[in-house]
Amino acid sequence: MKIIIVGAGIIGVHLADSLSRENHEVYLIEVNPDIAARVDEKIDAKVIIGRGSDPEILKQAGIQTADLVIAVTNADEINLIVCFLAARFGAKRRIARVRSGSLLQAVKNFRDQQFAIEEFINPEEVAAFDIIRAVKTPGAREVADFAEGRILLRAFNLPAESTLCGHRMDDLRTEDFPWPFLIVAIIRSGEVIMPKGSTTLEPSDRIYALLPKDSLGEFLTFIDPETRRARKVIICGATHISEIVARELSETVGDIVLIEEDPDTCEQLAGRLNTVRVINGSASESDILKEAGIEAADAFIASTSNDHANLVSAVLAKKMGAKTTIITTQQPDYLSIIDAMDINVVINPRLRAVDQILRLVRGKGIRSVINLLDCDCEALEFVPEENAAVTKAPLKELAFPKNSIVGAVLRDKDVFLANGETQIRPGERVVVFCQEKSVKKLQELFIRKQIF
Amino acid sequence: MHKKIVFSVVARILFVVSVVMLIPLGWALKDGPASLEVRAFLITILSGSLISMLPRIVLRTKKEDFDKLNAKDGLAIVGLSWFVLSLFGALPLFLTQSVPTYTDAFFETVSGFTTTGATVLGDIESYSRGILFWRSLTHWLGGMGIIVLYLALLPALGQNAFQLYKAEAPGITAERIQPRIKETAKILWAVYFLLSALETGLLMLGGMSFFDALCHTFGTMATGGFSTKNASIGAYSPYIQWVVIVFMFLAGTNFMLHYQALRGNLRAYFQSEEFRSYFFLMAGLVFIFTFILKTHGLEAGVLRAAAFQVVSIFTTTGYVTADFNLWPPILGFLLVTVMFIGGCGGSTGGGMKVTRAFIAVKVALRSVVQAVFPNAVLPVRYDSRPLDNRIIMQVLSYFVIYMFLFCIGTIVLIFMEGCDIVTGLSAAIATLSNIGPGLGLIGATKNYAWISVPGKLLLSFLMLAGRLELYSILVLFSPLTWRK
Repeated sequence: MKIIIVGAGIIGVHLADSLSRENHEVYLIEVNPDIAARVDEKIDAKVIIGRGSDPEILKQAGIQTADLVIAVTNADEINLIVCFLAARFGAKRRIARVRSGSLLQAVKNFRDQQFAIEEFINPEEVAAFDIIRAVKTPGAREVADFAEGRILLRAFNLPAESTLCGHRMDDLRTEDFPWPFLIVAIIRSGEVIMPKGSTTLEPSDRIYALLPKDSLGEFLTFIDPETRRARKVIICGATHISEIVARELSETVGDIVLIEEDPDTCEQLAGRLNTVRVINGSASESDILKEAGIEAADAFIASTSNDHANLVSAVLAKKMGAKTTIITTQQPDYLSIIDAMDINVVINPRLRAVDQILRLVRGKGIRSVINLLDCDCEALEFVPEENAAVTKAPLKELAFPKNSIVGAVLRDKDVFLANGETQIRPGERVVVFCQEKSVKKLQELFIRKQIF
Repeated sequence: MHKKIVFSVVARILFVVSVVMLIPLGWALKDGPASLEVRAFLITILSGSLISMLPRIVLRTKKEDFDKLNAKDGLAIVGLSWFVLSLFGALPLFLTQSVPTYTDAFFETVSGFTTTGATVLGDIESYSRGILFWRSLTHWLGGMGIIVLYLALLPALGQNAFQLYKAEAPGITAERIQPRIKETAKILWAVYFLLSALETGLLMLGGMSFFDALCHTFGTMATGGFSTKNASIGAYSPYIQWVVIVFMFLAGTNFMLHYQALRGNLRAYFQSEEFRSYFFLMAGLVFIFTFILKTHGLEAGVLRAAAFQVVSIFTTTGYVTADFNLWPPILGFLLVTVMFIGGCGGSTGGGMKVTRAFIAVKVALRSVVQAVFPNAVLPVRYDSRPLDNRIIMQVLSYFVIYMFLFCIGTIVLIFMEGCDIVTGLSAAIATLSNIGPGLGLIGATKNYAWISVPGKLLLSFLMLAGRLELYSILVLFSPLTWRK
């Protein structure tokens, strides 16, 4: 496929890297020559220096014959113009990153006539909903939903007091655990383990579990008998993400406090959100955190645009008594060091946007992709096509790639966990957990064989 | 440097060349199934493929490892492969006792791969066809580049293929024709192959045998200079000489332009400033040569002789039709000056490259203007675009290192060999710029056989440094490269 990406920011570069590895013909347009030069060395793609909103530059990349145009600069206006031009020049599919909520709404309303954009990506919004999910699942390290929120993927570090510790995988299917859940992967001292029936769970294992929505509450008590619903949440930084989180959480959480350094922004925010208490000050000062009531906080969310500030304030908040800390980061390079610090959930809006776009590009059969941050694994939601290989026999008779697990299946609004006897039918939603390199092979199982 | 990755890539490249060596083996088999040549080629191919398997068994590199490849590894891989391939490619020459010592064989092979065309063989016509074919084939492989061939043929090396491509492709910027390096490499080799096939056909039309046509095509398209005749192209008809002139000229041109021309955009040639400089400078020189030769009383075929020699030396090919040592001294000096410039970037030609030479001149001129208008802002333009300061610095430092190598080479050579200044100077530049014949004792009708062993090693180093644009070879001598 011929793909043109506009904007070599974190999203653009990650996308170009993944897509060129998948043997697509990738052109990357970037306005800053220094960034362009650096990217050109690193990625097997053609980098063109210039403005994506300039038709001449787009033509240079061969926009007329492009299969897909992805506009991911940090300016909404440019992204819209790029897609608009791409449509006029005849590019087949167009994806744009649009951050402004009201603009997004407006553009969606007339997209067929004007911009002809196939899909909109809003990393901040996606990240905000990730945060909300994490708040509702205290202690989770990673959260992802499939099948419109009916199948959940949750990752936890097992505390020593968890009832699951010391149990073998086989035990988990017996009466002691009436609520279904399936552990699909374990990270033990940095190594990914694909669990077998005889694998025993140990304290401080990181487990990845798939479960139906209804069993979440019970599952949480298995992980930590003392968990309770979040009642007090402190958010720091008045960003777009924070605002969405504050607004959405105010329905279920009684006490929400928002800390912001800039007095003017505080004024405006306090005016817009009447259910939220706004405090003016820096979240990396203990006095401010005390004023916000940090000792009683169930969750502390640091989502300023400054990674360093987020890190520092989250570590401080944890020290001062916050139960769960959640931060957002811009810089993917920090992910590995954050793991060494005592922070519960890390969300990288840009990488999530990359996941979303990759899903759209890979398309066929795949509904949704979640790239798990700490292991080279992905959780994929497939919809098997008619006559696909996977629908022909029970799972145990199929040749699945190594280290992949078929987790949960959604059949007629019922979620159940798959086992060897399960036979998948076309049109069902199937959540599969696998290593990155097996994606292609898996996809072949779920799509109809092409006969030439 | 990631030694594991570097060695395994070098081994893979060695394997490619071992396979390619089956072609001269075929020729040797045809001429005499039980001959010394057949045995020499067999031994080389077997040992080459065995050695290339070793790292695969010992190191067990995984596909993911190649993602670690960085710029330093890229340079080291290219430098090391060329060195290893030359050592290995010298085996057939040595085993058939075509040359007295292994150093001679190594020199001859380096000269082949780097498309220099400097030879130690005296009576070329007395050698067997297998050996002659291998000698010419090294030209053809080295011309477009072995690494580029490897990138085109074998499965992708991951995201970092560009580091390798950049380290071997000549010119100030390595450009992508296609977003993917593999596709770019394929296109370059396809254009190269196409032009080569065309030349072979045209040469055969002029009455050359298939074997000679192939060998001379390899020599021309790679701007090499190995011939199968003692009199070089001088042994052939004017028609063949004109064909060779045209194809030497094409081989010295950026292959990207050929690709665009093949796709119908013929104007691309003259839209390129480098091509314009290359074309007009060469045309001017041909005119001057013809004029001076005429005034010195030469009559028959003056234009052809002038054109052939100017194009041959300018493009760094090194074929000869006339002994230019007998020409007026001013012409000999002009030829040596031209040797520094060489072909265009992205061509198979050697030398400093036309772009670099012209940018260096423009920068020098700018400094003169700047002296008159101290506060003026004077961008240096190329292809009507202002050049980045970083590129200007790269060009100038390349120029300095080039001149430095040339001076050191000359001094050491004259000191070791005790030869005259003209021979020493021209030998240093004729090897550094990958031309072949020079003036004096290494002139058009002579060869390099008389030079001592250390002298040959020095010249081999200059040839490799010149072909790989200095850095790939120079990094091998830096302890920084070998450290972890």
